[in-house]
Amino acid sequence: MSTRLPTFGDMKAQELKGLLLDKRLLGGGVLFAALALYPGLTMNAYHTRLLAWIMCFAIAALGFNIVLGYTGLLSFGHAAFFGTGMYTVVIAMESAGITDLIVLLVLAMLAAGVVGAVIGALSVKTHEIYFALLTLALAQLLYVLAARDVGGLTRGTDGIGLSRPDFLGIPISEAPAHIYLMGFYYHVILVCLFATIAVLWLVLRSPFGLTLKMIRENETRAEMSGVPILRYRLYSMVLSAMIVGLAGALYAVVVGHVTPEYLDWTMSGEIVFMALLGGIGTFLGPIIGASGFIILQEVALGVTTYWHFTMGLVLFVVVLTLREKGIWGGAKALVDDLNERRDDS
Amino acid sequence: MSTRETDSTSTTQNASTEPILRTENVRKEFGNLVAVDGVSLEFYDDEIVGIIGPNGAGKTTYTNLISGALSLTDGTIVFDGDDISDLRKYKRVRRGLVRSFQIPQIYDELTVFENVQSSVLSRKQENNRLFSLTHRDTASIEETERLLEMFNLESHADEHTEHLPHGVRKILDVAMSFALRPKLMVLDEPTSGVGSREKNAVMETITDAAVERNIGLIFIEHDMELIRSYSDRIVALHEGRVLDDDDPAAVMNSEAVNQFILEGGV
Ligand SMILES: Nc1ncnc2c1ncn2[C@@H]1O[C@H](COP(=O)(O)OP(=O)(O)OP(=O)(O)O)[C@@H](O)[C@H]1O
Ligand SMILES: [Mg+2]
Repeated sequence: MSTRLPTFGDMKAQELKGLLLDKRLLGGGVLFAALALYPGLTMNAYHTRLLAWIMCFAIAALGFNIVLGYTGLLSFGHAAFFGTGMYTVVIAMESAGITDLIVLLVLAMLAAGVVGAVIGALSVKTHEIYFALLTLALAQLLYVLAARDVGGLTRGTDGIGLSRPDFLGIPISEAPAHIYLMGFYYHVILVCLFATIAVLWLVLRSPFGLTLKMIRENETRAEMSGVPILRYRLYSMVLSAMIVGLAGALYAVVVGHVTPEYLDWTMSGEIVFMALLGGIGTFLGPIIGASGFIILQEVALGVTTYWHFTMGLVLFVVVLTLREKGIWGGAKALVDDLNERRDDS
Repeated sequence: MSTRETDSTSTTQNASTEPILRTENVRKEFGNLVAVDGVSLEFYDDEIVGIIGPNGAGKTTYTNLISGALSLTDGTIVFDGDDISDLRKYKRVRRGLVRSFQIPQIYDELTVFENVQSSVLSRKQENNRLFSLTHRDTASIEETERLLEMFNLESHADEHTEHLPHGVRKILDVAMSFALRPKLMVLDEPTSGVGSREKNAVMETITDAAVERNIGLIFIEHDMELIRSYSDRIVALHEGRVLDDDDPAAVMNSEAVNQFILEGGV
């Protein structure tokens, strides 16, 4: 008994788990390669753009889910971090003349982190609906500041168009738009998505991740275990904000135009929507949710002008039937179920 | 037996002569109601103290003042030589003043193992470790296994806690508190909701573990049999005041205690 293995089972379980992990790594590798080759093989600019778009929002939904799925706080203010990421890039390029993509992305994450720290510090003491409303209100404040052009940096509701950043001193921005996207920028987003997945996978399985789950599951106990819960809620907000800020920064270059709409509450709502759709109770759910949302939006927009209504209906059905499992968790449960039945017979 | 980690904040002199916890004139008012009315008591880390009293006597309120869940209206609390009257809850825990709960406070969507491991990691103040995997952390895993063994929870290790029987949840709650390596543990009705046949087993497990690890115990209990069997000393509270504080036989024979508590049918 004293040599019990980390997975808390016998040796076979341990090996099995190792295999499973490898299978997941393998699956991830294959997916990465397929996604990386897609633009070059198909030369389909529309699909590439759509995929870039999806990946940006997948990063945002993953980042958002740290707060909702792990710490158990429903934020309705994540547009603030997404928008901050976007505005940081465009303002740093326009006003400070910074053109290097890496620098811009780092700046955007830092700026979003700072906004996350401020909004977090003001809101982590509250709970549930109050937390949702407070984060919403604080984010909305940022929207108003940007829309009214307070400080003269945002040019109000017209927004600011931005040019393409360079990379490590290579004047890649001079390439034509579709080549820039299909040959370079799309791959930057892809790498960022997989890096985010890897980092979050690790972090959420660390003592830090366990601490967030402790807070979600039982705050009283967490505190009575010696955890400063407010501080950890704040940490989770900052981490979440930085990742959502990265998503915003990446997205800014894809759309090429930054307006206050990205700071608006509807943007926060869309991020919440994606996470719920894919499943907040699962690690990869938010990615599925972001993909589903954007594809659905494309389809619904094409066939009906009532796309908001259509989307609402879909979310309603998914949440009602699958709850926190979402599409991804629901599908996994279904596969498990089928496997069990096959084993039984 | 594991050695207690040296804690920079502790100023442990001679543990058995100095009380580990001392409350001086502790008072709590809720509006016009005085729930705890000037309670001065001392507790040592080598004794088990039972607290009795009728419903509404202020027992839970008193323990909430000790843990910091409620703020004092007046009075002082000294723990391990330091005034902790204004210290935040989690800081009291980190100093070794730990409570368990009347209704088990555990993490339902985590396994029994994770529940205990989370307490171990919290005690080591490793909550902030970002890039290490909890399921590879051998130090905390081994310690968790020892605790599970100590509380006979091994067979439940991989189960989620939602569907555990109440008695097991209760024990898990206590095991999680033990994982924090307290110097003093306050238990609010550790056997409430536990079947009468299991009550003794639960108390046995708790007191054995406390003795083995040199942990002082304070427990609130309505069951006079249990109080008599397991406490070295009994404190009787009534209307927020100390009615009696003596060894079990003396308290049980005291006229006041008989009048206000034992005959009250609690
Ligand atoms: N948060 C609160 N607000 C107002 N009054 C309270 C509060 N908590 C306790 N009280 C009151 O303080 C008094 C003492 O309550 P307490 O819960 O400490 O009693 P107890 O001895 O634990 O009783 P029991 O044996 O029923 O658990 C009661 O009159 C109770 O109604
Ligand atoms: Mg009580």
